[in-house]
Amino acid sequence: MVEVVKRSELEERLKALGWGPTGVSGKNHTVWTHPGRSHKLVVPVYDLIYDSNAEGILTDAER
Amino acid sequence: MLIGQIFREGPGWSAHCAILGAYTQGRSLKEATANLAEAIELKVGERNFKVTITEIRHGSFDEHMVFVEASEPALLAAEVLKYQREVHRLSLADVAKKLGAASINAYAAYEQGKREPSLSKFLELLHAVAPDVALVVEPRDAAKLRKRREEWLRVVNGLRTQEFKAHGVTAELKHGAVLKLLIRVGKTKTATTSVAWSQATGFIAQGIDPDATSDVVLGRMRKAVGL
Repeated sequence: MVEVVKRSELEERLKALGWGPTGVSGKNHTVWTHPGRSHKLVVPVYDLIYDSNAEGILTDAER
Repeated sequence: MLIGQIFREGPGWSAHCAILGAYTQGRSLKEATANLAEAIELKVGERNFKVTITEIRHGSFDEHMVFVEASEPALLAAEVLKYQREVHRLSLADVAKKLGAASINAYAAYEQGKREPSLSKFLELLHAVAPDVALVVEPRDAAKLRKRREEWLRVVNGLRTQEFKAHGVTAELKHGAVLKLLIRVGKTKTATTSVAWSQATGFIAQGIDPDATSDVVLGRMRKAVGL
């Protein structure tokens, strides 16, 4: 059984870390920024995010 | 050009280019590949910046290594510097200090993609922001790469593992920049010759003297990148 994270939960965790959506998006991603960081996060728009991707995004968000 | 990975995860596929912090997925290999390109394009966020993903080899049935190439390499290089600087928790001022620069402006121009670094300059900048990240030279041709990997595996299988010896080789490039490479040297079972190879490039050499054999591999790598 594959581990997944609900996108809504991932987004809540990103918001709690100070990240927010920019309104910029592509076909399958939204762009998030943080007022204290230079790099952006790109979040897939799928309802379920595979574990390796959620972990990668959250690790980046916490840097 | 960067290297990414696309691999099966659950019912779909995940696609990563960790050196840039791009993590995405898709319901099919094709969709995951397209999404990796889109994720990197959005990270860079410049109009007309386009990414091309090309498969270079199968690690296994469910894992693919890919080249990530950009229409504007300077913007891709800028994104690598920006992301890696934050991964290593460095400020612009920290990097400027490491580079011996009086102000942050010169370095910031590279990070913003306003200046395009030469190869030597990029290596210098990369070493300042991420000393643990290496520039790797790979053959573009997948068939050639497979052939070299098969040759490499034959060599490795012919070695006595206790005689493996890894050499970190620092090749000095033009303009004083350095390129760090790893070359491994071991004796063959016949015990009369040494074999040196670089896993990154697949270049192999064989000879009596381990150091000279290692130098042959280094020379081939230098020639491949035009140095």
